[in-house]
Amino acid sequence: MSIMSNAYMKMFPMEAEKKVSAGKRNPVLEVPEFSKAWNLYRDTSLDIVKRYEYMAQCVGFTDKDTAAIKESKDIIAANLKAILDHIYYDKLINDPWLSRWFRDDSGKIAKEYVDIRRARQQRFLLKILECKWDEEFWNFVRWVGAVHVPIFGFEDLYIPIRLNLGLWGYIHQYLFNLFAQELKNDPEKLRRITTAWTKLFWIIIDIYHIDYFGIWM
Amino acid sequence: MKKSVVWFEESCIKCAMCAEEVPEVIVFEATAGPQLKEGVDITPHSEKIKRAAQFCPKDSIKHHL
Ligand code: HEM
Repeated sequence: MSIMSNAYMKMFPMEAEKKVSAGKRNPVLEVPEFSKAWNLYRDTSLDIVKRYEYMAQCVGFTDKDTAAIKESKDIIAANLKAILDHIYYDKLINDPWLSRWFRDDSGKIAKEYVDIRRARQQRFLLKILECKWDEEFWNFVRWVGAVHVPIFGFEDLYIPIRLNLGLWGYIHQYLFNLFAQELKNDPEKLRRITTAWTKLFWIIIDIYHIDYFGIWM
Repeated sequence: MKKSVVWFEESCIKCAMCAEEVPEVIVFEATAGPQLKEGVDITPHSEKIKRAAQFCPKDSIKHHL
């Protein structure tokens, strides 16, 4: 079992228990399909890699998609600075609500802080592009999401989920327009790459938001 | 044998990510920025150091590894 699942088991020991009906009998609990689904629920809650694997098969994310993400590396690498500028300088610091987190005490945009935040976002993108879908990577994605809610050292920080979703949507469309521009003469490659990124975005968005919700979500 | 060395250039913006990537070798101090830990053999950590250098937004981590 992974370090994370061990830690989780300490918090939620009941998760490890076999689900049996107690008191009022519920025949549904005895059906094999229910047990299978329960085990799947339990395993994917306990183990982040299993959660990824489950989500990957839900959206059909396969090795072919990983290969397509790798194919898109050159386009992203060549445009990395522009992508980050768009996220930070065009969007985050200009939007009246989003920019609230990037201002100093006098209300001005905190330029140095924005540069550091941008650098951290760059690392996040580069780690995605490494295409190593292992426990370390998914824990990193989960941690980045967790930074935005008031836990683990960030007790005074809360970013409403709609802002995250808005920003994910913004990054998504920005990347796709970039791919469309760069690959206008190769529609098949464009299809491969946008399909792969769509699937990956949804998987990342799930894991990124783990700490926004109760485990049953 | 070539000696392994790592150093930081002035351009550093103090994002502290290098210390997060290689805590075995680099410590981050708020005013001074990233510093090499004293007396640590860096050779076993060279892959991690190279990765940290890749993530560095200002290309401030230099090395002969
Ligand atoms: C697409 C959605 C988002 C992504 C991918 C993202 C990415 C990141 C990353 C990579 C970090 C830093 C983790 C680290 O320390 O390395 C971070 C921290 C942070 N993000 Fe986001 N973020 C998103 C949405 C937002 C939104 C919508 C806001 C607010 C407008 C926001 C504000 C912050 C703040 C205030 C921090 C903490 C900074 C600190 O340590 O001082 N993020 N985010």
